[in-house]
Amino acid sequence: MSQRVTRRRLGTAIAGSLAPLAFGVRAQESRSLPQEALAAAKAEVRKDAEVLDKFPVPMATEPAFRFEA
Amino acid sequence: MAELSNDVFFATITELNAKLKAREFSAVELARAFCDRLEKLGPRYNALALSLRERAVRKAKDVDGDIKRERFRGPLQGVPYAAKDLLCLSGTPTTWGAKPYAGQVFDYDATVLRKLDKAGAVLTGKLAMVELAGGGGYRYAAASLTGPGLNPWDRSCWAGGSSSGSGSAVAAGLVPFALGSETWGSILTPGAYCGVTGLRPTYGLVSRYGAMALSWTMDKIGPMCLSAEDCGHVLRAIAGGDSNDPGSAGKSFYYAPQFARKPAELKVGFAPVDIEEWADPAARPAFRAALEALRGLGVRMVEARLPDFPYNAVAGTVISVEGSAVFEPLIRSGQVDQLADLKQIAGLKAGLDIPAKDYLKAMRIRSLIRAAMRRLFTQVDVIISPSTFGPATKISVPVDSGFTPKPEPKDRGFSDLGAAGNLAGLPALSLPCGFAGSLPVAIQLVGRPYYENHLIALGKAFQDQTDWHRRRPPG
Repeated sequence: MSQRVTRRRLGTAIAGSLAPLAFGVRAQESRSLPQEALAAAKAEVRKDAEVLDKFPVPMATEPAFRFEA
Repeated sequence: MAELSNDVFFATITELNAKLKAREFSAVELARAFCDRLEKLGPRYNALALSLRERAVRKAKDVDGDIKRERFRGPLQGVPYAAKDLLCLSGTPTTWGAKPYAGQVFDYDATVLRKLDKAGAVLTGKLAMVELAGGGGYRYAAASLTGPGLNPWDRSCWAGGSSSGSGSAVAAGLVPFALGSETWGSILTPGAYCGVTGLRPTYGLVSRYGAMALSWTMDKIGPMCLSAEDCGHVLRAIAGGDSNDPGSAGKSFYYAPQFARKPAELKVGFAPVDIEEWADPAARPAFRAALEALRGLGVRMVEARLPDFPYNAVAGTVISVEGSAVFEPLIRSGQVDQLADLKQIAGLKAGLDIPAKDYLKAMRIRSLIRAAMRRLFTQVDVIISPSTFGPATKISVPVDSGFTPKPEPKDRGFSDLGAAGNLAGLPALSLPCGFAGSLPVAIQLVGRPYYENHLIALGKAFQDQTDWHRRRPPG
Protein backbone atom coordinates (compact mmCIF):
# COMPACT_ATOMS: atom_id res chain seq x y z
CA MET A 1 0.00 0.00 0.00
CA SER A 2 1.45 3.35 -1.03
CA GLN A 3 0.11 5.50 1.80
CA ARG A 4 -1.41 5.04 5.18
CA VAL A 5 -5.19 5.28 4.94
CA THR A 6 -7.45 4.85 7.92
CA ARG A 7 -10.24 2.35 7.55
CA ARG A 8 -12.78 5.11 7.97
CA ARG A 9 -11.29 7.20 5.14
CA LEU A 10 -11.04 4.13 2.94
CA GLY A 11 -14.66 3.25 3.58
CA THR A 12 -15.67 6.81 2.79
CA ALA A 13 -13.64 6.87 -0.42
CA ILE A 14 -15.00 3.57 -1.64
CA ALA A 15 -18.60 4.37 -0.76
CA GLY A 16 -18.18 7.68 -2.59
CA SER A 17 -16.68 5.99 -5.63
CA LEU A 18 -19.67 3.67 -5.81
CA ALA A 19 -22.14 6.58 -5.83
CA PRO A 20 -22.22 7.07 -9.64
CA LEU A 21 -22.77 3.35 -10.13
CA ALA A 22 -25.36 3.27 -7.41
CA PHE A 23 -27.16 6.25 -8.89
CA GLY A 24 -27.79 4.35 -12.12
CA VAL A 25 -28.74 1.19 -10.24
CA ARG A 26 -30.88 2.90 -7.64
CA ALA A 27 -33.75 3.73 -9.91
CA GLN A 28 -34.24 0.05 -10.65
CA GLU A 29 -33.25 -1.75 -7.50
CA SER A 30 -33.72 0.35 -4.39
CA ARG A 31 -37.05 0.47 -2.73
CA SER A 32 -38.46 3.02 -0.37
CA LEU A 33 -38.23 2.12 3.25
CA PRO A 34 -41.70 1.72 4.74
CA GLN A 35 -42.33 4.52 7.19
CA GLU A 36 -43.29 1.96 9.83
CA ALA A 37 -39.80 0.43 9.71
CA LEU A 38 -38.10 3.78 10.21
CA ALA A 39 -40.58 4.75 12.92
CA ALA A 40 -39.91 1.46 14.71
CA ALA A 41 -36.16 2.01 14.54
CA LYS A 42 -36.50 5.53 15.92
CA ALA A 43 -38.78 4.27 18.66
CA GLU A 44 -36.12 1.74 19.66
CA VAL A 45 -33.51 4.51 19.79
CA ARG A 46 -35.82 6.66 21.91
CA LYS A 47 -36.53 3.76 24.25
CA ASP A 48 -32.78 3.22 24.79
CA ALA A 49 -32.31 6.94 25.37
CA GLU A 50 -35.04 6.95 28.03
CA VAL A 51 -33.36 4.05 29.79
CA LEU A 52 -30.01 5.82 29.71
CA ASP A 53 -31.55 9.09 30.93
CA LYS A 54 -32.88 7.38 34.03
CA PHE A 55 -29.52 5.87 34.98
CA PRO A 56 -27.56 8.06 37.38
CA VAL A 57 -23.88 8.55 36.64
CA PRO A 58 -21.49 10.16 39.13
CA MET A 59 -20.37 13.56 37.83
CA ALA A 60 -16.72 12.53 37.78
CA THR A 61 -17.33 9.56 35.47
CA GLU A 62 -15.61 10.01 32.13
CA PRO A 63 -16.56 8.24 28.89
CA ALA A 64 -14.86 4.93 28.15
CA PHE A 65 -12.46 6.36 25.59
CA ARG A 66 -9.53 8.68 25.92
CA PHE A 67 -7.61 11.04 23.69
CA GLU A 68 -3.83 10.95 23.43
CA ALA A 69 -1.92 13.94 22.13
CA MET B 1 -12.78 -34.45 -5.08
CA ALA B 2 -9.24 -35.40 -4.08
CA GLU B 3 -9.24 -38.78 -2.36
CA LEU B 4 -8.72 -38.09 1.30
CA SER B 5 -10.54 -39.86 4.08
CA ASN B 6 -13.58 -38.03 5.39
CA ASP B 7 -11.93 -37.94 8.80
CA VAL B 8 -9.39 -35.47 7.42
CA PHE B 9 -12.10 -32.87 6.87
CA PHE B 10 -13.00 -33.00 10.56
CA ALA B 11 -9.47 -33.22 11.91
CA THR B 12 -8.12 -30.58 14.26
CA ILE B 13 -5.26 -28.26 13.42
CA THR B 14 -2.90 -30.30 15.59
CA GLU B 15 -3.92 -33.54 13.83
CA LEU B 16 -3.60 -32.07 10.35
CA ASN B 17 -0.22 -30.53 11.03
CA ALA B 18 1.10 -33.87 12.30
CA LYS B 19 -0.16 -35.64 9.20
CA LEU B 20 1.45 -33.03 6.95
CA LYS B 21 4.81 -33.39 8.71
CA ALA B 22 4.48 -37.17 8.47
CA ARG B 23 3.88 -36.71 4.73
CA GLU B 24 0.58 -38.63 4.82
CA PHE B 25 -0.43 -36.11 2.20
CA SER B 26 1.05 -32.93 0.84
CA ALA B 27 -0.12 -29.41 1.57
CA VAL B 28 -1.18 -29.13 -2.07
CA GLU B 29 -3.31 -32.28 -1.85
CA LEU B 30 -4.87 -31.00 1.35
CA ALA B 31 -5.54 -27.54 -0.08
CA ARG B 32 -7.12 -28.97 -3.24
CA ALA B 33 -9.30 -31.34 -1.23
CA PHE B 34 -10.58 -28.57 1.04
CA CYS B 35 -11.08 -26.20 -1.91
CA ASP B 36 -13.09 -28.89 -3.70
CA ARG B 37 -15.23 -29.37 -0.62
CA LEU B 38 -15.68 -25.65 0.04
CA GLU B 39 -16.67 -24.97 -3.56
CA LYS B 40 -19.03 -27.94 -3.76
CA LEU B 41 -20.68 -27.77 -0.34
CA GLY B 42 -20.23 -24.12 0.63
CA PRO B 43 -23.17 -22.97 -1.53
CA ARG B 44 -25.32 -25.64 0.13
CA TYR B 45 -25.16 -23.54 3.30
CA ASN B 46 -24.79 -20.14 1.57
CA ALA B 47 -21.43 -20.14 3.33
CA LEU B 48 -19.07 -19.27 0.49
CA ALA B 49 -18.48 -15.68 -0.62
CA LEU B 50 -15.38 -16.28 -2.75
CA SER B 51 -13.18 -19.28 -3.52
CA LEU B 52 -9.44 -18.57 -3.53
CA ARG B 53 -8.34 -21.90 -5.00
CA GLU B 54 -5.47 -20.68 -7.18
CA ARG B 55 -3.98 -18.61 -4.41
CA ALA B 56 -4.42 -21.49 -1.98
CA VAL B 57 -2.62 -24.00 -4.20
CA ARG B 58 0.26 -21.54 -4.79
CA LYS B 59 0.65 -21.06 -1.06
CA ALA B 60 0.40 -24.80 -0.45
CA LYS B 61 3.25 -25.40 -2.92
CA ASP B 62 5.42 -23.00 -0.91
CA VAL B 63 4.47 -24.85 2.25
CA ASP B 64 5.40 -28.20 0.73
CA GLY B 65 8.78 -26.75 -0.20
CA ASP B 66 9.31 -25.54 3.36
CA ILE B 67 8.26 -28.85 4.90
CA LYS B 68 10.57 -30.73 2.53
CA ARG B 69 13.45 -28.51 3.70
CA GLU B 70 12.27 -29.02 7.31
CA ARG B 71 11.54 -25.32 7.70
CA PHE B 72 8.76 -25.73 10.22
CA ARG B 73 6.71 -22.66 11.08
CA GLY B 74 4.36 -23.95 13.71
CA PRO B 75 1.04 -25.78 14.03
CA LEU B 76 -0.79 -23.78 11.36
CA GLN B 77 1.68 -24.54 8.60
CA GLY B 78 -0.16 -26.09 5.67
CA VAL B 79 -3.54 -25.94 7.39
CA PRO B 80 -6.34 -24.57 5.19
CA TYR B 81 -8.69 -21.89 6.55
CA ALA B 82 -11.16 -19.30 5.36
CA ALA B 83 -11.98 -15.78 6.48
CA LYS B 84 -15.15 -13.82 7.09
CA ASP B 85 -15.65 -11.50 4.14
CA LEU B 86 -15.11 -8.37 6.15
CA LEU B 87 -11.35 -8.94 6.07
CA CYS B 88 -9.68 -7.42 3.04
CA LEU B 89 -7.35 -9.33 0.77
CA SER B 90 -5.44 -7.36 -1.81
CA GLY B 91 -6.84 -7.50 -5.34
CA THR B 92 -9.90 -9.59 -4.49
CA PRO B 93 -13.50 -8.55 -3.76
CA THR B 94 -14.34 -7.87 -0.12
CA THR B 95 -18.09 -7.46 -0.06
CA TRP B 96 -18.88 -7.02 3.65
CA GLY B 97 -21.89 -9.24 2.82
CA ALA B 98 -23.66 -6.23 1.38
CA LYS B 99 -24.90 -5.37 -2.10
CA PRO B 100 -23.55 -1.79 -2.18
CA TYR B 101 -20.03 -3.18 -1.65
CA ALA B 102 -20.29 -6.21 -3.94
CA GLY B 103 -17.48 -5.02 -6.20
CA GLN B 104 -15.27 -3.49 -3.54
CA VAL B 105 -11.56 -4.29 -3.85
CA PHE B 106 -8.77 -3.19 -1.55
CA ASP B 107 -5.08 -2.99 -2.38
CA TYR B 108 -3.77 -4.33 0.89
CA ASP B 109 -4.21 -7.33 3.17
CA ALA B 110 -5.78 -7.30 6.61
CA THR B 111 -3.16 -7.74 9.32
CA VAL B 112 -4.67 -11.02 10.52
CA LEU B 113 -4.48 -12.51 7.02
CA ARG B 114 -0.88 -11.38 6.66
CA LYS B 115 -0.02 -12.98 10.00
CA LEU B 116 -1.70 -16.26 9.13
CA ASP B 117 0.12 -16.31 5.81
CA LYS B 118 3.41 -15.86 7.66
CA ALA B 119 2.45 -18.79 9.90
CA GLY B 120 2.02 -20.95 6.80
CA ALA B 121 -1.77 -21.27 6.95
CA VAL B 122 -3.47 -21.66 3.56
CA LEU B 123 -6.35 -19.26 2.83
CA THR B 124 -8.91 -21.10 0.69
CA GLY B 125 -11.75 -18.61 0.57
CA LYS B 126 -13.85 -15.81 1.97
CA LEU B 127 -16.94 -16.69 3.91
CA ALA B 128 -20.44 -15.26 3.89
CA MET B 129 -21.69 -12.90 6.55
CA VAL B 130 -24.71 -10.86 7.53
CA GLU B 131 -24.56 -7.58 5.64
CA LEU B 132 -22.36 -5.01 7.37
CA ALA B 133 -22.11 -7.44 10.30
CA GLY B 134 -25.68 -6.58 11.20
CA GLY B 135 -24.82 -3.29 12.79
CA GLY B 136 -28.10 -1.53 12.09
CA GLY B 137 -29.99 -4.46 13.56
CA TYR B 138 -31.64 -7.04 11.30
CA ARG B 139 -34.81 -9.03 11.41
CA TYR B 140 -34.30 -12.01 9.16
CA ALA B 141 -31.52 -14.49 8.39
CA ALA B 142 -31.70 -13.42 4.74
CA ALA B 143 -29.98 -10.13 5.64
CA SER B 144 -27.01 -10.99 3.44
CA LEU B 145 -25.72 -10.66 -0.12
CA THR B 146 -25.41 -14.46 -0.21
CA GLY B 147 -28.80 -15.25 1.28
CA PRO B 148 -29.57 -16.77 4.68
CA GLY B 149 -26.71 -18.66 6.30
CA LEU B 150 -27.97 -22.26 6.56
CA ASN B 151 -27.13 -24.53 9.45
CA PRO B 152 -25.32 -27.80 8.56
CA TRP B 153 -27.27 -29.55 11.33
CA ASP B 154 -30.61 -28.58 9.78
CA ARG B 155 -30.72 -26.47 6.67
CA SER B 156 -34.15 -25.12 7.55
CA CYS B 157 -32.40 -23.39 10.46
CA TRP B 158 -30.10 -20.41 10.66
CA ALA B 159 -26.34 -20.75 11.01
CA GLY B 160 -26.35 -17.71 13.29
CA GLY B 161 -24.75 -14.37 12.63
CA SER B 162 -23.09 -12.30 11.72
CA SER B 163 -20.21 -14.78 11.10
CA SER B 164 -22.69 -17.21 9.47
CA GLY B 165 -20.36 -18.66 6.86
CA SER B 166 -17.51 -19.07 9.36
CA GLY B 167 -19.72 -21.11 11.70
CA SER B 168 -21.25 -23.32 9.05
CA ALA B 169 -18.01 -23.89 7.12
CA VAL B 170 -16.16 -25.20 10.17
CA ALA B 171 -19.14 -27.30 11.31
CA ALA B 172 -19.52 -28.92 7.89
CA GLY B 173 -15.81 -29.72 7.58
CA LEU B 174 -15.25 -27.27 4.72
CA VAL B 175 -12.30 -25.68 6.54
CA PRO B 176 -10.45 -26.76 9.70
CA PHE B 177 -10.78 -23.24 11.07
CA ALA B 178 -12.18 -19.87 10.11
CA LEU B 179 -11.89 -16.26 11.18
CA GLY B 180 -15.01 -14.54 12.38
CA SER B 181 -15.65 -11.28 14.17
CA GLU B 182 -17.78 -10.16 17.08
CA THR B 183 -19.18 -6.78 18.01
CA TRP B 184 -22.10 -8.22 20.00
CA GLY B 185 -22.59 -11.98 19.58
CA SER B 186 -21.27 -12.57 16.08
CA ILE B 187 -18.76 -15.29 16.99
CA LEU B 188 -20.57 -16.85 19.93
CA THR B 189 -23.97 -17.14 18.23
CA PRO B 190 -22.89 -18.96 15.06
CA GLY B 191 -20.42 -20.95 17.15
CA ALA B 192 -23.26 -22.14 19.39
CA TYR B 193 -25.78 -22.68 16.61
CA CYS B 194 -23.33 -24.65 14.45
CA GLY B 195 -21.69 -26.65 17.24
CA VAL B 196 -18.18 -25.25 16.81
CA THR B 197 -15.74 -23.74 19.30
CA GLY B 198 -15.47 -19.98 18.99
CA LEU B 199 -13.16 -17.55 20.75
CA ARG B 200 -13.85 -13.86 21.15
CA PRO B 201 -10.53 -12.34 22.23
CA THR B 202 -10.01 -9.41 24.56
CA TYR B 203 -10.69 -6.13 22.75
CA GLY B 204 -7.45 -4.83 21.28
CA LEU B 205 -5.56 -8.15 21.39
CA VAL B 206 -6.07 -8.82 17.68
CA SER B 207 -5.54 -6.10 15.09
CA ARG B 208 -8.63 -4.78 13.33
CA TYR B 209 -6.58 -3.29 10.50
CA GLY B 210 -8.15 -4.34 7.22
CA ALA B 211 -11.42 -5.40 8.83
CA MET B 212 -14.64 -3.58 8.08
CA ALA B 213 -15.37 -1.31 11.01
CA LEU B 214 -18.79 -1.54 12.55
CA SER B 215 -18.09 -0.26 16.07
CA TRP B 216 -14.59 1.08 16.64
CA THR B 217 -14.77 0.44 20.36
CA MET B 218 -16.39 -3.01 20.23
CA ASP B 219 -15.15 -4.93 17.16
CA LYS B 220 -13.03 -8.04 17.78
CA ILE B 221 -11.69 -10.64 15.32
CA GLY B 222 -11.41 -14.22 16.51
CA PRO B 223 -11.09 -17.87 15.51
CA MET B 224 -13.82 -20.46 15.04
CA CYS B 225 -12.41 -23.97 15.23
CA LEU B 226 -13.13 -27.58 16.06
CA SER B 227 -11.53 -27.35 19.51
CA ALA B 228 -10.44 -24.98 22.25
CA GLU B 229 -6.83 -25.99 21.68
CA ASP B 230 -7.10 -25.04 18.02
CA CYS B 231 -8.41 -21.62 19.06
CA GLY B 232 -5.22 -21.23 21.10
CA HIS B 233 -3.04 -22.00 18.09
CA VAL B 234 -4.89 -19.56 15.86
CA LEU B 235 -4.94 -16.80 18.46
CA ARG B 236 -1.18 -17.19 18.89
CA ALA B 237 -0.77 -16.43 15.18
CA ILE B 238 -3.19 -13.52 14.86
CA ALA B 239 -2.71 -11.68 18.16
CA GLY B 240 -0.23 -8.89 18.74
CA GLY B 241 0.24 -5.16 18.62
CA ASP B 242 -0.31 -3.22 15.39
CA SER B 243 0.39 0.48 14.97
CA ASN B 244 -2.13 0.52 12.11
CA ASP B 245 -4.95 -0.21 14.57
CA PRO B 246 -5.70 2.68 16.94
CA GLY B 247 -7.46 0.25 19.28
CA SER B 248 -4.54 -2.16 19.48
CA ALA B 249 -3.58 -3.05 23.02
CA GLY B 250 0.02 -3.67 21.99
CA LYS B 251 -0.01 -7.04 23.72
CA SER B 252 0.95 -10.45 22.38
CA PHE B 253 -0.51 -13.86 23.14
CA TYR B 254 1.49 -17.02 23.58
CA TYR B 255 -0.54 -20.20 23.82
CA ALA B 256 0.92 -21.66 27.00
CA PRO B 257 -1.33 -24.39 28.38
CA GLN B 258 1.46 -25.60 30.64
CA PHE B 259 1.26 -22.35 32.63
CA ALA B 260 -2.52 -22.09 32.76
CA ARG B 261 -4.26 -22.47 36.07
CA LYS B 262 -5.56 -25.95 36.78
CA PRO B 263 -9.35 -26.33 36.98
CA ALA B 264 -9.17 -26.97 40.74
CA GLU B 265 -7.60 -23.53 41.17
CA LEU B 266 -10.48 -21.75 39.46
CA LYS B 267 -13.59 -20.20 40.95
CA VAL B 268 -16.37 -20.28 38.37
CA GLY B 269 -19.38 -18.01 38.75
CA PHE B 270 -22.75 -19.15 37.50
CA ALA B 271 -26.39 -18.16 37.92
CA PRO B 272 -28.88 -21.03 38.28
CA VAL B 273 -31.63 -18.81 36.85
CA ASP B 274 -29.77 -18.76 33.51
CA ILE B 275 -30.48 -22.43 33.03
CA GLU B 276 -33.62 -22.95 35.07
CA GLU B 277 -35.62 -19.99 33.75
CA TRP B 278 -33.88 -18.11 30.91
CA ALA B 279 -32.86 -21.16 28.86
CA ASP B 280 -35.09 -22.99 26.39
CA PRO B 281 -36.47 -26.02 28.28
CA ALA B 282 -35.21 -28.31 25.49
CA ALA B 283 -31.65 -27.10 26.12
CA ARG B 284 -31.67 -27.23 29.93
CA PRO B 285 -30.48 -30.86 30.29
CA ALA B 286 -27.42 -30.12 28.16
CA PHE B 287 -26.57 -26.99 30.16
CA ARG B 288 -27.03 -28.80 33.46
CA ALA B 289 -24.77 -31.63 32.27
CA ALA B 290 -22.13 -29.11 31.22
CA LEU B 291 -22.07 -27.58 34.70
CA GLU B 292 -21.74 -31.06 36.19
CA ALA B 293 -18.88 -31.84 33.84
CA LEU B 294 -17.08 -28.70 35.02
CA ARG B 295 -17.72 -29.62 38.64
CA GLY B 296 -16.20 -33.00 37.82
CA LEU B 297 -13.01 -31.23 36.75
CA GLY B 298 -12.65 -29.83 40.22
CA VAL B 299 -13.58 -26.19 39.68
CA ARG B 300 -15.24 -24.37 42.55
CA MET B 301 -18.68 -23.28 41.40
CA VAL B 302 -20.09 -20.22 43.13
CA GLU B 303 -23.36 -18.47 42.52
CA ALA B 304 -22.97 -15.02 41.08
CA ARG B 305 -24.78 -12.55 38.87
CA LEU B 306 -24.08 -9.47 36.81
CA PRO B 307 -24.21 -6.11 38.57
CA ASP B 308 -27.25 -4.04 37.63
CA PHE B 309 -26.73 -1.88 34.58
CA PRO B 310 -28.80 -1.11 31.46
CA TYR B 311 -26.45 -3.23 29.33
CA ASN B 312 -28.64 -3.59 26.26
CA ALA B 313 -29.45 0.12 26.04
CA VAL B 314 -25.76 1.00 26.40
CA ALA B 315 -24.56 -1.54 23.84
CA GLY B 316 -27.38 -0.68 21.46
CA THR B 317 -26.61 3.04 21.63
CA VAL B 318 -22.84 2.62 21.22
CA ILE B 319 -23.15 0.31 18.23
CA SER B 320 -25.91 2.40 16.61
CA VAL B 321 -23.95 5.62 16.86
CA GLU B 322 -20.60 4.22 15.82
CA GLY B 323 -22.03 2.02 13.05
CA SER B 324 -24.12 4.80 11.56
CA ALA B 325 -21.12 7.12 11.71
CA VAL B 326 -18.95 4.56 9.90
CA PHE B 327 -21.58 4.15 7.20
CA GLU B 328 -22.69 7.77 7.00
CA PRO B 329 -21.67 8.09 3.32
CA LEU B 330 -23.67 4.95 2.53
CA ILE B 331 -26.71 6.36 4.31
CA ARG B 332 -26.52 9.92 2.97
CA SER B 333 -26.04 8.71 -0.62
CA GLY B 334 -29.14 6.55 -0.40
CA GLN B 335 -27.19 3.41 -1.27
CA VAL B 336 -28.20 2.05 2.13
CA ASP B 337 -31.57 1.29 0.53
CA GLN B 338 -29.87 -1.50 -1.43
CA LEU B 339 -29.35 -3.56 1.70
CA ALA B 340 -31.38 -6.75 2.01
CA ASP B 341 -32.98 -6.18 5.42
CA LEU B 342 -35.45 -3.36 6.04
CA LYS B 343 -34.74 -3.29 9.77
CA GLN B 344 -31.03 -2.90 9.03
CA ILE B 345 -31.70 0.01 6.67
CA ALA B 346 -33.99 1.68 9.20
CA GLY B 347 -31.56 1.12 12.05
CA LEU B 348 -28.64 2.69 10.20
CA LYS B 349 -30.74 5.72 9.25
CA ALA B 350 -32.10 6.14 12.77
CA GLY B 351 -28.59 5.85 14.23
CA LEU B 352 -27.50 9.05 12.51
CA ASP B 353 -29.99 11.04 14.56
CA ILE B 354 -28.86 9.89 17.98
CA PRO B 355 -27.65 12.99 19.83
CA ALA B 356 -24.10 13.14 21.15
CA LYS B 357 -25.37 13.45 24.72
CA ASP B 358 -26.88 9.95 24.48
CA TYR B 359 -23.68 8.43 23.11
CA LEU B 360 -21.63 10.12 25.82
CA LYS B 361 -24.04 8.98 28.51
CA ALA B 362 -23.76 5.42 27.19
CA MET B 363 -19.97 5.63 27.17
CA ARG B 364 -19.92 6.99 30.73
CA ILE B 365 -22.12 4.14 31.94
CA ARG B 366 -19.76 1.87 30.03
CA SER B 367 -16.89 3.11 32.24
CA LEU B 368 -18.93 2.10 35.27
CA ILE B 369 -19.66 -1.31 33.69
CA ARG B 370 -15.97 -1.88 33.03
CA ALA B 371 -15.12 -1.07 36.65
CA ALA B 372 -17.93 -3.26 37.98
CA MET B 373 -16.81 -6.22 35.87
CA ARG B 374 -13.27 -5.80 37.22
CA ARG B 375 -14.69 -6.01 40.73
CA LEU B 376 -16.74 -9.09 39.80
CA PHE B 377 -13.57 -10.79 38.58
CA THR B 378 -12.00 -10.32 41.99
CA GLN B 379 -14.75 -12.63 43.26
CA VAL B 380 -14.61 -15.20 40.45
CA ASP B 381 -12.05 -16.23 37.85
CA VAL B 382 -14.44 -17.33 35.13
CA ILE B 383 -18.12 -16.82 34.45
CA ILE B 384 -20.13 -19.59 32.82
CA SER B 385 -23.47 -19.17 31.09
CA PRO B 386 -25.19 -20.49 27.97
CA SER B 387 -23.69 -18.95 24.82
CA THR B 388 -27.26 -18.67 23.54
CA PHE B 389 -30.31 -19.65 25.55
CA GLY B 390 -31.60 -21.98 22.88
CA PRO B 391 -30.66 -23.65 19.61
CA ALA B 392 -30.77 -22.17 16.13
CA THR B 393 -34.01 -20.61 14.93
CA LYS B 394 -35.76 -21.39 11.66
CA ILE B 395 -34.66 -19.18 8.76
CA SER B 396 -38.26 -18.32 7.94
CA VAL B 397 -38.89 -16.53 11.24
CA PRO B 398 -37.30 -13.40 12.73
CA VAL B 399 -33.85 -14.09 14.16
CA ASP B 400 -34.98 -13.09 17.65
CA SER B 401 -37.82 -15.65 17.67
CA GLY B 402 -36.02 -18.04 19.95
CA PHE B 403 -37.40 -19.05 23.35
CA THR B 404 -38.20 -16.09 25.60
CA PRO B 405 -39.45 -16.88 29.09
CA LYS B 406 -42.82 -15.31 29.86
CA PRO B 407 -42.99 -13.50 32.16
CA GLU B 408 -39.33 -12.47 32.13
CA PRO B 409 -37.55 -13.65 35.28
CA LYS B 410 -36.94 -10.86 37.77
CA ASP B 411 -33.46 -12.23 38.38
CA ARG B 412 -31.48 -11.45 35.25
CA GLY B 413 -28.57 -13.70 36.30
CA PHE B 414 -26.04 -13.56 33.48
CA SER B 415 -28.67 -13.12 30.76
CA ASP B 416 -27.03 -9.83 29.71
CA LEU B 417 -23.53 -11.32 29.61
CA GLY B 418 -23.30 -10.86 25.83
CA ALA B 419 -23.76 -7.11 26.12
CA ALA B 420 -21.75 -6.83 29.34
CA GLY B 421 -18.82 -8.87 28.06
CA ASN B 422 -18.59 -7.00 24.79
CA LEU B 423 -18.94 -3.58 26.43
CA ALA B 424 -16.13 -4.42 28.84
CA GLY B 425 -13.96 -5.94 26.06
CA LEU B 426 -13.78 -9.31 27.80
CA PRO B 427 -12.68 -12.59 26.21
CA ALA B 428 -15.17 -15.44 25.82
CA LEU B 429 -14.88 -19.04 24.69
CA SER B 430 -17.97 -20.84 23.37
CA LEU B 431 -17.92 -24.63 23.78
CA PRO B 432 -20.44 -27.05 22.25
CA CYS B 433 -22.05 -28.87 25.18
CA GLY B 434 -24.86 -30.99 23.81
CA PHE B 435 -28.09 -30.82 21.86
CA ALA B 436 -31.60 -29.49 22.13
CA GLY B 437 -33.37 -31.99 19.93
CA SER B 438 -31.13 -32.33 16.90
CA LEU B 439 -29.52 -28.88 17.16
CA PRO B 440 -26.32 -28.05 19.05
CA VAL B 441 -26.16 -25.75 22.08
CA ALA B 442 -23.13 -24.29 23.79
CA ILE B 443 -21.84 -22.72 26.98
CA GLN B 444 -19.59 -19.69 27.19
CA LEU B 445 -16.68 -19.15 29.53
CA VAL B 446 -15.89 -15.47 30.09
CA GLY B 447 -12.80 -14.15 31.81
CA ARG B 448 -11.12 -10.93 32.78
CA PRO B 449 -9.07 -9.17 30.07
CA TYR B 450 -6.20 -11.26 28.64
CA TYR B 451 -7.40 -14.41 30.42
CA GLU B 452 -7.48 -16.39 27.17
CA ASN B 453 -4.90 -19.01 28.19
CA HIS B 454 -6.92 -19.98 31.25
CA LEU B 455 -10.22 -20.04 29.35
CA ILE B 456 -8.70 -22.22 26.65
CA ALA B 457 -7.13 -24.55 29.22
CA LEU B 458 -10.46 -24.97 31.00
CA GLY B 459 -12.18 -25.43 27.65
CA LYS B 460 -9.67 -28.08 26.66
CA ALA B 461 -10.15 -29.88 29.96
CA PHE B 462 -13.92 -29.84 29.34
CA GLN B 463 -13.42 -31.15 25.80
CA ASP B 464 -11.05 -33.88 27.03
CA GLN B 465 -13.99 -35.17 29.10
CA THR B 466 -16.74 -34.71 26.52
CA ASP B 467 -17.05 -35.23 22.79
CA TRP B 468 -19.65 -32.66 21.75
CA HIS B 469 -17.00 -30.78 19.77
CA ARG B 470 -16.25 -33.91 17.70
CA ARG B 471 -19.83 -34.51 16.61
CA ARG B 472 -20.52 -34.07 12.91
CA PRO B 473 -23.66 -32.81 11.23
CA PRO B 474 -25.61 -35.38 9.22
CA GLY B 475 -24.67 -35.85 5.57
